[in-house]
Amino acid sequence: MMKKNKSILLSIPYAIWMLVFTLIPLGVVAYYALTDPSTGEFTLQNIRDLGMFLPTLGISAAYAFVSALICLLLGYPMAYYIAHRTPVMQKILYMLVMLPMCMSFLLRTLAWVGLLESNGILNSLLGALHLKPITMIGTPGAVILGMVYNYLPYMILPLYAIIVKIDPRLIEAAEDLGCSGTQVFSKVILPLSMPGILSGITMVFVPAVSTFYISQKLGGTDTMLIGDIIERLFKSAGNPNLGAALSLVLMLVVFICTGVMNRFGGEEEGGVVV
Amino acid sequence: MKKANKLITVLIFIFLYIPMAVLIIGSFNTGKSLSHFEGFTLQQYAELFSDKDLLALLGNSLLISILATTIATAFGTFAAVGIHNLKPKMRKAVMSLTNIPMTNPDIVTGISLSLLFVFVGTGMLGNKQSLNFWTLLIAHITFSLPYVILNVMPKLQQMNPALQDAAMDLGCTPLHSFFKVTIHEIMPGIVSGAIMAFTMSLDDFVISYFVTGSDFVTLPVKIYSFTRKPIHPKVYAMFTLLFTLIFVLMVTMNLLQLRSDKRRHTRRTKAESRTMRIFKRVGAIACVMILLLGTVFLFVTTRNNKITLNIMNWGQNIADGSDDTLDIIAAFEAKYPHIQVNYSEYASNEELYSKLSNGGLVVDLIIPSDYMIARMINEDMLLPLNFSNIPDYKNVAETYKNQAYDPENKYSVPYTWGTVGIIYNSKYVSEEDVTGWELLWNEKYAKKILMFDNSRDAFGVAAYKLGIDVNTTDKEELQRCADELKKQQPLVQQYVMDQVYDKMIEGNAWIAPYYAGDAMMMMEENPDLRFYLPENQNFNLFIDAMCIPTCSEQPEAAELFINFMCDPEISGANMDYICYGSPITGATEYMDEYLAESEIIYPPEEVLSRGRSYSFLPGDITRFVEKLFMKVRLG
Amino acid sequence: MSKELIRLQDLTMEFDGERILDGINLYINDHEFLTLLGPSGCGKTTTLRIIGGFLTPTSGDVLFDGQRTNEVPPYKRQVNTVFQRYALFPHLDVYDNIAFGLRVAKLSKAEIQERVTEMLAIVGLKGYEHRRIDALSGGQQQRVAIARALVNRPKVLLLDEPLAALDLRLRKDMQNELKRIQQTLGITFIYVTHDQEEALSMSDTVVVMDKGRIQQIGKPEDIYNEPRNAFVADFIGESNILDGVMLEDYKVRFFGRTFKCLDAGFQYNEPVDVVIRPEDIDFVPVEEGHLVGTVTSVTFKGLNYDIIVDFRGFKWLIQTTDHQPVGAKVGIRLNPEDIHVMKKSEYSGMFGDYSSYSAEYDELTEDADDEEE
Repeated sequence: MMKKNKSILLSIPYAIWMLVFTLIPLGVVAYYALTDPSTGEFTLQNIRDLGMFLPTLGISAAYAFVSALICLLLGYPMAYYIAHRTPVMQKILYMLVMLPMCMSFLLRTLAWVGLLESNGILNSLLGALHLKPITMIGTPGAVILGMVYNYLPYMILPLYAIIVKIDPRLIEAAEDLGCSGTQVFSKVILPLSMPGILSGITMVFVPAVSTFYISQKLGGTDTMLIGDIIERLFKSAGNPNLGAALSLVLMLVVFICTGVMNRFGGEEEGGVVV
Repeated sequence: MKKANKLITVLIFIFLYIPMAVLIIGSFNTGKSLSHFEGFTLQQYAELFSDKDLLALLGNSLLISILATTIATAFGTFAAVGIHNLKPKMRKAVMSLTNIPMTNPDIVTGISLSLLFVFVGTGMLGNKQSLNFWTLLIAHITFSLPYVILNVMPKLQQMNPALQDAAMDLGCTPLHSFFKVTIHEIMPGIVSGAIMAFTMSLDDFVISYFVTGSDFVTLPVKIYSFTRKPIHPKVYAMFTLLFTLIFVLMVTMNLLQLRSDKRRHTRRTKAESRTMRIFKRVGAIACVMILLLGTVFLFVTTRNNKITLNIMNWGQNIADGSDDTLDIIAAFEAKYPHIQVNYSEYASNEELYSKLSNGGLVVDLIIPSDYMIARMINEDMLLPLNFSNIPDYKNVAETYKNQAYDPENKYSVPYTWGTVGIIYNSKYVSEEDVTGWELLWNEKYAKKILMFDNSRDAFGVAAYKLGIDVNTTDKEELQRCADELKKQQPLVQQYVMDQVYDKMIEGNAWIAPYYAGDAMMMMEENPDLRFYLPENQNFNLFIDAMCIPTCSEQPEAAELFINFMCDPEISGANMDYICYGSPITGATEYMDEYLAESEIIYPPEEVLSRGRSYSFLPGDITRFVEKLFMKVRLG
Repeated sequence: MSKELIRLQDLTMEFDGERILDGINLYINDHEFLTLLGPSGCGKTTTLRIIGGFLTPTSGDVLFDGQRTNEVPPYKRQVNTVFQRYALFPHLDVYDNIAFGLRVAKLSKAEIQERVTEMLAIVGLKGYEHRRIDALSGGQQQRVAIARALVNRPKVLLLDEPLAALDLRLRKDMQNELKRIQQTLGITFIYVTHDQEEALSMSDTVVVMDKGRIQQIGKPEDIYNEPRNAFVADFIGESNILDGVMLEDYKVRFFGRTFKCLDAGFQYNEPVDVVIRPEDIDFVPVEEGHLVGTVTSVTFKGLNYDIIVDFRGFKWLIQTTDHQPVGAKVGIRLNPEDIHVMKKSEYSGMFGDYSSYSAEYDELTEDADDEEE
């Protein structure tokens, strides 16, 4: 008993640290959001100005959602495939998925610019095949490609972790109870991998909805995302107060989206012992 | 089904690795472009190893990640034990605190931390440099901690509680039993938490980008500023080396693990367990050594006796020794050995203004343009210069003194002057279209047009096209400019600043308004490029001048630098690289002849007469313009 | 009890070149309770999985009602399985687990409701409909697993060591329960176990397997009383196995003496294995005994004593209620019905000697048995 009581004390410095460096900063953001950039007085102007960014917020969420969906469609078969290899093979493939995450995402995205530019590598290849060049850079497709490319591992890894834990006997049990291959998938494997799907979607959605580098590099004039605007307000438009207000909105959107996703998945998630 | 999965897996791996292959191939390229392979060379590797700055940046990144990981791992592990023993309600509360940085977008975390540091550090404690190494470290520890906690907690929950009881039953104190039993049980969690924290910290860009001050920069943040300009291929060489290193590390780690797994199946012999123990001990010692060296390194770099002079300048705006030019900073440091220059860049006046007004960093010398100088004077952001430290001010030609932005010559010493015109690719743009600013609205070249990504220059172009005074404060007129820009928006490929180099040189865009000197530099790289100033319209004539911001801690050193730049020989040498006009009398004598005689740099008098300068706009008008521009950008 | 339902013909199974099943021939009647019994690795689970359709045999056929069904996938077979450690779906509650198969078969809601409720009553889990699986005890999970399989009204129920994870007491209860359910519903049960007691007490027919081959098929009593070789004799209960020679029909010689027995059909002077069950031996005064030996160890077992007696260096296990002290000289008599004669086999000489007797029997090794492929 002594031990338990004392060890609780260990959590206090941590709680204070997290309070000071995660919660209080959000308070400071709120303070900035409610003050005027030049006079420093209380104002609601920043909140009122947010209206003009609503369409962008919607577009950003749509981009991030589409990317997350594509990541899921691509990542699920891959995670499933990896989870059903021999243990040695699983380790190798897992490592190969991890590896890109360790390398500079700025440079890797830059490489896509080299690939997609109108005089870039892919168009040179098309030219060599006597095909017409395609405009790729600056299109919404390029931005989504960049998001999928950068965040796909965030989808694969949690999916793999869940799928590999599904007891193969459950699949046999379902077959035994009359499920065909597709039914086994839809009735057993899919519901059991739901927690992985939800955390994968969250892990792709959150960075994608707030990115500014990908859209700056791969996007065009009409693919400005909410992250771009916040970065611009802080780094060049000289209006950190409006930026603060907008980042609070972004945070709210993310928390609502992940909250809804968790609730929607809550039922399914209930019985799974991870 | 299985075959389809296999096919998808293979395709995704190709998809994941192609960009890396592009970068690796790029590191062996004689050319600078990623798109075109011109020939094989190892030159980039030689350049990488002779570039101490780049290696130092890598060292910075490693230092901050190792420190942050170590601290977060130790701190987080103990905290996890504490949290584990909390009552469920309290545990839930602490865990939801832990989840904030995990769920919050990085950009919000970065912004909130940077605002906090400036608000408390500068606002309440009065520390000018409130964004520094220590705040960066705090930020990294903060976002690394949850990874440790979330990896250690499950291991604690899986652990058989009887183990600790057993240890205590056998005579261990609680602390003792933690180190003898618990820590072994949760080790896998600690290790995977530490590895995740390290990777996240090493490759973190977004949070660091907002929290970095001027004194300590990590590699990813620097790479970001690299990627806005033509990037030097030695960066690809560094990428390749890091890739190889991490690849080898991962493979050996996996192999070691496989071997120890196998060993666990067979019976462990004494000799093997001894080698394992030695191995572990060596590993632990190596970790401690790395830490020690890291801290020593930190100690040495911070306890350097030199004065640090923080200069912030435009991108590509100082001769850096490449292409047989003079390395100005090296020359300055050679002349004044007690000063060490810390050089960083900005892409626009507005970016510079934001950096300074956001606060938290120390900058000693900046080189803004005319209108921005006026704004900064107006907002008390500049220190008056002590001209007794700048005797060579006498070299500045009279034409560039007594300008509207600094009528009494109190705050600024001119650095360059130049014009804004249109650069275009003659291979694609027919000569009859090259008339005035309307070229930027020509639908024939839709999506091949670039446009300024700063409000002042963009509105300037629109105003010149419409024949409106560029310094208008009439909101209606500004609205007309905005409408004109909105009309242009669908034709624009991208709004750019420094990125204009890559786009124009590679021929990916054909038309862009830009500064004459930069245009000259681009023309050197691609002979198809041409530059012109509109024949019957106004254009921008600007002066960039050196100023000392109020956040400076070394104004004397900054004044030494200003004086240094007033030397005609230095200024001339500088112009050889940056291709602008020098305000220093006699500088042309030290410039390349073809530059000194270039009509682009020194246009004839009758052309110059059409040039107009930006002047000061009140803050509310600036913000109004900024908002209009934001709407244009949003489409 | 007579109609043949399943027939296995010359089944062989190989994994990575290793022969797991080696020529299995077996028929299973309708309504029969048949048990596959054998030690770990004997191929019993493999056989079951082939019947269930989870494995395809390397060669040989599986016939259902005379139809070859080798390639029929599990979900098209009229067979259901109770899996080792149950394999209940953790994302579904008790009701949904049991209704799973009915829903797949697209039965009407009302019918599902009716059948699930009925099944819950049979396995005694009324009121547990909406419990989560991980909130159930092992025995309850067991019942859900059985209900989930039976609710589909299969012709055959396959049970793969269903009771292995339960403690002894619960195991006994469930044995009775299973037998009751089988008799009530009249379904064929194919039951896999390594527990000989379980096999004997529940089954109509026991199939003893080892090394991928069937060693003996028969009613529990027959298997016990007339083991076909030393392996069966040892695996089913305790046995003293001795080398002997069959002099002629009904006459066998061992330990230098000739005994009458009930066995016939051997060649003259054929070497044989002689089995004497420990409980069939009674002590008699030394002078009346066919054989005389010395007691070397006595263990109290509750119902009886396990007594090891040394007969000229060969140690026998004798189970008796008659206590004898260590060191006592005892005599025994062997009646003809106590002597079982078996042909020599590859197992001869491997079992039946209690020289290294331990009071723990083989229970320790049996515990590790349920991990079987």
